[in-house]
Amino acid sequence: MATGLKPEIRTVETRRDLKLFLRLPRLIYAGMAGFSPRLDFEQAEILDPKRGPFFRHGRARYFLAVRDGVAVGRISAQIDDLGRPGEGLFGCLDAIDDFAVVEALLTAAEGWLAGEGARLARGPFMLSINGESGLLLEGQMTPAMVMMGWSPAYLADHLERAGYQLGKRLLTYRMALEADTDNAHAASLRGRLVTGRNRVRGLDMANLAREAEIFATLFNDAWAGNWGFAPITQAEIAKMLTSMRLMLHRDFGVVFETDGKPIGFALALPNLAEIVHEFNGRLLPFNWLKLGRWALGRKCRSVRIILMGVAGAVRSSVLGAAVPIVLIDELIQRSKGDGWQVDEIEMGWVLEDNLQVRALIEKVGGNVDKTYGIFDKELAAPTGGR
Amino acid sequence: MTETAGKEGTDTLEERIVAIVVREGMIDREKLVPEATLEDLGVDSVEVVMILNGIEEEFGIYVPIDETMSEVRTVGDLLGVIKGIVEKKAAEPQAE
Repeated sequence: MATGLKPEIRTVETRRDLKLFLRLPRLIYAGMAGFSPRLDFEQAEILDPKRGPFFRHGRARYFLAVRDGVAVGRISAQIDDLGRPGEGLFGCLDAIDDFAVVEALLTAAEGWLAGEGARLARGPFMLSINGESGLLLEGQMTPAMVMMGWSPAYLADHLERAGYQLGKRLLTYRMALEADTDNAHAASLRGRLVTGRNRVRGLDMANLAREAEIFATLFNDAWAGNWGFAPITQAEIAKMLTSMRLMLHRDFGVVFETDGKPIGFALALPNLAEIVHEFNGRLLPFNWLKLGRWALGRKCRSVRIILMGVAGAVRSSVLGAAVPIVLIDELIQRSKGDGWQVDEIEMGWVLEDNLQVRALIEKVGGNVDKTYGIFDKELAAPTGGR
Repeated sequence: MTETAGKEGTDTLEERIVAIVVREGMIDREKLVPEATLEDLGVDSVEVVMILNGIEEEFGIYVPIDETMSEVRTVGDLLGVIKGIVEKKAAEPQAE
């Protein structure tokens, strides 16, 4: 397949093209060690312009690489109006091991981004930094995790050959839970803190829209100013919660409140990848039954802490320093009780150079399990007229 | 912590607290100025616990994270609150 011949690049225009775009990873990576197919439905909720909340504040163009009538690669190019001016994003970079294919896809994405006024191409992101971020650099054989991307190792080499530079490394951490996993520091903090005016409550399943508003407010307040920050919208969190509703449970979201006012939160998602790897991307005709049994039977063995935030107003105080570990510990305690069988928690991603957050995770027992990379390339100004 | 010597007992108490913060928070002594915030010093959840545990052991007190402690942001705030708790404990009549 790696002929080195330049493929045809086709812009995704039709629903049929979009379906192919969604399925492409499992078509080209089938059989690769470590690859686990995702649900088409899960990707469509993000990538379909008619459904994805990204399209309320951004625009995207999708491209397919086709050779001899067979799709051999895909890429997205997108502009997030909530991001930095002049910054163009790319994502969904999946291709066979052929530099000519990757180069052609990148060239198409760069051309569209430059035409939109971007001076920098950065990615991959699906579709913003608040979605799946980074190209998997290390950890291809690590078990798959919900809403974390998988890429073959050769793609990073092709990106660098195409003039991209690794800008940031992102880490995910995994922590094994034993039945007797207890963190003395966390227990000490809980004892001092979760009393009187303070309480920790679970996810309010009856009011997910309200929860989404709380999480978006706290998340944006907590992370504004961090590298690459773009605000997450209430609609994006609401979409995540509602599309995972069948799998969600009140024990997977925790909110720390003082006098009833939210101060911090942490949200975990059950690891869908445990069950959907055998579905080959499809829920129909009967896979939804298996999924339902898995979810309702509390059979998930791993969860991912996907979002977390502490209000900026308390961040530099003792309360702000104490709340994160209380939230993580609360999720751990809930994951071990009430019929759950969770024995692994993944946390991330975290910027490799965010030493403070990394130190905290490592102190509660997390170990790095995957490394992702964000790549940058400066774009030349478009030449010629329109 | 202070250049000027105050009452001997006060300075001794402050230096004992500072020594615990330096040791348990793994903070360079020269960075521990009153106006430094916990965030500036990179003090995280675990270090907060270790500092409070160290203070409790040293002085035989319990340090709640109550409203006052929750709002502590700087080294100066922390010393003030801890000193208050220690002095209050010292002023209490000893149980028979």
